Amino acid sequence: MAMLTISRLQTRFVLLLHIGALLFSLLAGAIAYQLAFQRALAQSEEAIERLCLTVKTTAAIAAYVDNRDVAKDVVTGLLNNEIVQSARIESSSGGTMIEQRKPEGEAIGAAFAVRCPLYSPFDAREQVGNLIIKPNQRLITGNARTEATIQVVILVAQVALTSLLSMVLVSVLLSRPIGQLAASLRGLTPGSSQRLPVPPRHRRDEIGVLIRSSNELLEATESAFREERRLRAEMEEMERQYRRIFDTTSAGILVLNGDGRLINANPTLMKMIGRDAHAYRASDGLAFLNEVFVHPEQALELVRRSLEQRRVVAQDLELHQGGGNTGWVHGLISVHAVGEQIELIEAVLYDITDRKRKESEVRHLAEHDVLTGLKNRHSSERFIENALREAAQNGSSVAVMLIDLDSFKPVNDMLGHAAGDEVLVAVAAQLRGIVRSSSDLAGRLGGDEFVLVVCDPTVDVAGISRVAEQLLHLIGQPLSLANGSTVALGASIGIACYPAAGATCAELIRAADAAMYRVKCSGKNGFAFAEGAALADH
Amino acid sequence: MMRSLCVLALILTAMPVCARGDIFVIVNAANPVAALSQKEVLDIYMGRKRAFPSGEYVLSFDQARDGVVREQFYRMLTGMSLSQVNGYWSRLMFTGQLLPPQPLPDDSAVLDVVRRNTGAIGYVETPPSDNSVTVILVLKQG
Repeated sequence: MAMLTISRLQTRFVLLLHIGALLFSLLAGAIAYQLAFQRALAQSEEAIERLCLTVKTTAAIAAYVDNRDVAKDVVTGLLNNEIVQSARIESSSGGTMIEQRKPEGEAIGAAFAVRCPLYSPFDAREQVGNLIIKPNQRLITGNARTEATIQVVILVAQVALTSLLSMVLVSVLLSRPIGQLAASLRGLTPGSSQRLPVPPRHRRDEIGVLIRSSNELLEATESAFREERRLRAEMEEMERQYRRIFDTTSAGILVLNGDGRLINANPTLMKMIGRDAHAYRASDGLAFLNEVFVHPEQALELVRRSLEQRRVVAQDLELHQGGGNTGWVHGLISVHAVGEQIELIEAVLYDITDRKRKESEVRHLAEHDVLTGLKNRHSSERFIENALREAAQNGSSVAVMLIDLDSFKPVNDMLGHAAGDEVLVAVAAQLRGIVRSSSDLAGRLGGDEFVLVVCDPTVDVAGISRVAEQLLHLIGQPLSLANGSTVALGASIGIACYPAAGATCAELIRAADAAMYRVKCSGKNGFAFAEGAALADH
Repeated sequence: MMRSLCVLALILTAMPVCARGDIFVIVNAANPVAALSQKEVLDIYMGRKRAFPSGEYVLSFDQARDGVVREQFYRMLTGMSLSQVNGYWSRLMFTGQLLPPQPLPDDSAVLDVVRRNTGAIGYVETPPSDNSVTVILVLKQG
């Protein structure tokens, strides 16, 4: 390719040189021809004028004495010159004394005639005649042409020789060394330690400079390559380290693009979600988020917050872990955005499933009675408070029923604590069976005292009474214990209804307790509503 | 007397004192021409004219070929030296048609010829003393 370009350069040079030389030859040749032609003509004219001068004296004498013989002699002499076509001597009166012409000149009109006045030999003021010489135009023109042609031929030969010489010199001195240099350069591998030798004859000229410059360039290229390789190795090492961290960290890492499509996920993350995350790379939009997170809207909200606050945001999130299991992660989410345009979403997820489970166990323990699994007093009261708040907003009713087992103490005392516990668990099961929905509550306030809360907007005294009666019936059934004995129990139930019997949990419990106490006093195993608080009245 | 003086002067000064005298151009007394201009005389002597204005054919006579008088005459008439005049004639003579004036040895020979030929013309350095010839032009020294 380089060689081709070089040879093309040379071709172009030679072409231009020859065209230039040709044009110059044509132009200069034309001019030289014209000049030479004119000069030859002028020389001929001069020659004729000199002839005139030569014969002038004799011609003047001939004219003076009007002697035709002398005149003829002069004219004949003139005609001996080949450039003279015709010669004539006129007398002063204008008459022709003598005229001679060459026969072949008849057809040729002379371009000019030299007219030489003849003066008396004795008086330069007296003109005695004229000598008129006409040149041999054909001869003169022919001579001029020959001379001009010779000039042009010499000129063209000079030009041709010069251009030929230039061509050869350019080829030898420039084209060939440059071509060789280009070929050597082409043979080199960039970045290698190869260099070009400087031939001794080019040590001081431009070719040498070119070669040295090329070598400097090669040097620079080599060191640039070296540096490049070093940097690349460094970066590769760094990348390996990061990749190792990415692959082995206990955190799940995932990268999403602005549309929420998965770009990358590490093995830990795949373990967390229990499936090959890379399958989601092809799926579009929010498929990954929707399928992996139990509440994808939370994840999207986190993304929105991170974008808004320009910082890492964190929240616990629930994941589908495959096989129908869910797990919890602590997610750190950061968004890389240009303006409002999200470029990348990074998420680092830590598995907190175990912690979450322990937390919920602790919470369960705190809220429930260990023996019966019912809500304990504290959480029962909180439940009532919440129910009251809701009822106050909806305008509905809440019934709080306090249940105290009759003759539980003798069971405990006579049959032992295990039997007592057995009884309590059985009652708890009965209460749980009565509770109809999650909006209702069965709790154990302590000892043999239970609570039942009914938060039904449609509840009325009759309904509550039916529940109480059903409860009394259930508790009144004989109960076979593990030790073979059978016990029959009863219960005293006090009922207080919001809002009639009180506005707060404490008021309601106190009212229900008072009603229960009345039942205890009036023979047990029955139920009573708090005084003046029949729901039906409202 | 005059001649003796001239000779004397010539001897004394080694110069042609006498040659510095005037030249008298003469024709036969019978010739009707009374006077000629210097140019007319020149044309006759240089071969251009061969006849007098009257139409009579001219016979022109020279003095001794290398003589002082002749030299004097041509110098005054043409402004040329004798060699130039001779050169002039030599160009014309080869044709055979034109001949230079016939040379005569001295004044007396010239006078003699002119007296005898009516068409003759000649020149002398001594003014003629009789009426047999007519002086038609005097070339004055100067």
